[in-house]
Amino acid sequence: MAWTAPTLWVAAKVSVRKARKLPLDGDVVVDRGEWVRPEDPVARATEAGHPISINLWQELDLKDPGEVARYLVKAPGDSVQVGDVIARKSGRFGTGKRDYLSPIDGVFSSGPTSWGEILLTPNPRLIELQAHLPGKIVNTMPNRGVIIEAVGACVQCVACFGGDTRGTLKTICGSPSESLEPHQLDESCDGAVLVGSSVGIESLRAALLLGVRAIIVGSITAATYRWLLDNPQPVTLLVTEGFGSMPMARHTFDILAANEGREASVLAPVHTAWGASPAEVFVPADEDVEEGNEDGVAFGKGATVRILRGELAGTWATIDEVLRASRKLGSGVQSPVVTVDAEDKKGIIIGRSNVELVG
Amino acid sequence: MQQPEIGSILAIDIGTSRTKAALFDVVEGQHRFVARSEVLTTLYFPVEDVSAGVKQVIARIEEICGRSLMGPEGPMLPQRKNGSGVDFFVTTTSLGGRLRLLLASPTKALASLQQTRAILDARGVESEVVVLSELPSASETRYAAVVGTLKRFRPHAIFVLGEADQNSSLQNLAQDLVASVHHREAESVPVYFIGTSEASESFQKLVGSKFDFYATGAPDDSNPSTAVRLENEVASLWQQCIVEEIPGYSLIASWQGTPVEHTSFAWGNSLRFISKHLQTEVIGIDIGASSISIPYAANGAGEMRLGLTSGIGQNAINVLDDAAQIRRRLPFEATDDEIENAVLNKWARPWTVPETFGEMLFESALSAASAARLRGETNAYSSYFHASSGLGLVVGAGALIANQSSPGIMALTLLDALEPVGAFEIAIDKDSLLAQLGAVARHYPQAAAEALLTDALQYLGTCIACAGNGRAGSKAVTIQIKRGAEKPRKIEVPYGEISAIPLASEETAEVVVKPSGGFDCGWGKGKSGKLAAKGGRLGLIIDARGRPVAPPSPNGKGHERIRRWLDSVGHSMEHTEAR
Repeated sequence: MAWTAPTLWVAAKVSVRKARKLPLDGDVVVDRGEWVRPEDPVARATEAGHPISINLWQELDLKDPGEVARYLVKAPGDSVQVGDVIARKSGRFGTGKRDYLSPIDGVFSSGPTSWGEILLTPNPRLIELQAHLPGKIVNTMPNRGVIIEAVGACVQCVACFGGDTRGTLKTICGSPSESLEPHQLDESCDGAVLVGSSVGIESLRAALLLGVRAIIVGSITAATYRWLLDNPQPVTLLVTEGFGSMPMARHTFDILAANEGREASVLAPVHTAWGASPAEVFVPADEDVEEGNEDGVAFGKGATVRILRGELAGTWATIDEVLRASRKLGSGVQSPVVTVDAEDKKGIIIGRSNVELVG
Repeated sequence: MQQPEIGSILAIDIGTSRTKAALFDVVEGQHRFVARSEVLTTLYFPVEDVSAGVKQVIARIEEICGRSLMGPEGPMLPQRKNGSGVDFFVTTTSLGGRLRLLLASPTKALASLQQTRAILDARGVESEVVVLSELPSASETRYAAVVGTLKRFRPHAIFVLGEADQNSSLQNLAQDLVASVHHREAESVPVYFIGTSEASESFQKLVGSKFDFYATGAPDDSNPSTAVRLENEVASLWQQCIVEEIPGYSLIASWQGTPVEHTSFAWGNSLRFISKHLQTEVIGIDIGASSISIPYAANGAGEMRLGLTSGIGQNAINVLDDAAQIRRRLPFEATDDEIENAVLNKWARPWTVPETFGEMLFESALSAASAARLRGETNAYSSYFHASSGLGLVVGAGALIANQSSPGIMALTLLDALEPVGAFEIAIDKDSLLAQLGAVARHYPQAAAEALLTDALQYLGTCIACAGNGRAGSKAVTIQIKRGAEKPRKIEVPYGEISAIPLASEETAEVVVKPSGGFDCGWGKGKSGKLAAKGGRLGLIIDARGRPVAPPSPNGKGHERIRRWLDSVGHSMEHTEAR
């Protein structure tokens, strides 16, 4: 029986099948067999607004909650928009004047209660799910979404911050070990998906101002990770190797560089209760000729792997042998192992859990 | 000879990182451990189906034993005359998110609320309490508050607590719940009423057919069976809401006729048996990728602290802010950035194992930081063993400890994570059998007991661990050790140090323990005592490092101190160069 292994696919041309799913039940608007472009909607849903309660007694600083009704400008059933005056306390001689403005677009649903509270219900939100990559609808999931088949270059990433996006692939750095510096970014980066080894906080700030859609790097540091958590940005950041100062793998960099100027689809991870599928960068091929598929290479002799731990972490290697017996690693941990050839070294013994299939 | 209650047993444990299988069979009239194997759990990309990993791990056992276990429809049950198949198949799992339960209580002070929360906390359930008396009095805003909570918290079930005299607030709640489902603002989830039968009946009438309704008595300290019944309800909800949703699990469920058990509770079950059999107090720690469990057992009864946000894999992220806690346990220089990058890499690829000795020490420090956080958060029971009542037992489990080949590193990892005090033996669940045998014991206790007592535990030795503080290098404890016919030997262990004295597995030694004034080795502060120390792979361990272990040390002396500890347990310092 074949071993399954953790996999992050990196391929110049591959046939992929991607599920595109609504977060809640809705309508699928395409049919099986149809061809779609990235911007085509494939499913739609309406998300009901969650009512919010506002205490106007406190907001208007009134003496008695029973006074709220007197100051209402809007009535239950009225529609409201952000900034509309819902209640106004005029005050005397210009003092104590206070307006309460609607924080939402929606409906003044009910109130005031004896405690001076009103309910506002936001308008239902229309969710439109785009195909996001060009391809053929090979299956539909009733009320939920579709599966799209497409052929192109595919780079799966270990981490992703931000959502789905698309943009023109732009390789600013000359090599996979060069980091993206703020001075390298200019107006030409507007709408682009940038490629580099690493990115710091200053470059992320600059990218945001310039309208960059996404940045693909080999690694980011913990400091950048923390900044991303504190500053949710519209720039999607994808990490191909890991955290720290690992350069992007040469093969990954070359694939992305070869597609310079083409539109790339960035697919954020799809989260489930059990984990998430990896984030991906997909660049559609001109010709619909596949050279492999995602199920492609088995974990065995000749397979290309990324070494994940130890002194060679980040290095790509080729499996020489998957050993049946366990061995003691340098850490003292007894583990099943593989022997790999990496760079100019042959027969390196690595824990089997410490390699990841890449293609 | 008594006929065995069952023949061969195949037990599977599906963890978040690894799926393990163990085969037990009758050897010379007793159940013995025959073979084990483990593979990576196949829940994640690219397979996303746990049954694939289970098939792989059983195939490995078949290969090791040269015996066919699987048929086209799953494991062949019962065992065939030609030796293929097994008589019993059982699974445990620690997979899945946390069960979310909404507790609705008329008042904050309701006694059953505190007891119910304690039961849920012990099972690692994420709970949120809605106190009905604190909800707005106006019906619309009250409804908005109830719906808001249901939408945000998305409970798997609602536990309603109440008594007959709290009818009005319970009536309001029932109306709000029914309206929320009617208006499609919330999903219908099972409602459990915990309280008197009179209140339960009136609540059931109000929620009508909109909810699956279950009634149970309130947990009552004077009647332990009520708590057990509630625990069983929670276990059953976990099965329905969490386990049955695991991709590929339905296939495994179709192979077995018994419900799956949570790994941690099955593990705790084994420790309860051990405590009863050995007539001793037992504290365990199982350090997993996405959870840490700390069960305690004495006289066959037990408690559990389960941290489903702890662990050294997916949950390593939760100690990202604890870089200082990790660094003070390392024997080499590491910046905050280096530590945090390593934590993030472990979070991103939780299934990886330490490749170098430095990485091993990092993961050991990560375990200690995560366990310390859990012990702090859950107010875990004391890890103090009263030496006057005999040797206690500390049991360690989890891949990091079980797969380690050095007994010294195993012992240090365990002592640092649990920080026990007193006199106790240390054992390791070396082949990760305890959880599986804990699940077997529910059905075939005799078979589980035989295998457990013979094969499950690997003893590292006896530890005398001191609590207390002193000046670095000042004498903390004096040990007089007498082995067989040898002359007694006296050893002084200074404060801040650990010492290991070889004592083979089959050996015992008479030990007299004399702590200095400020130190307590299980007999009380400054009090001396005697014990019969049992040997093991490491021997007799004297841990005079104080508690907490490894407090912050200025000017880099902490590194030297930790290197000395490693030396003391058999690891020379040059290993630590391999960062």
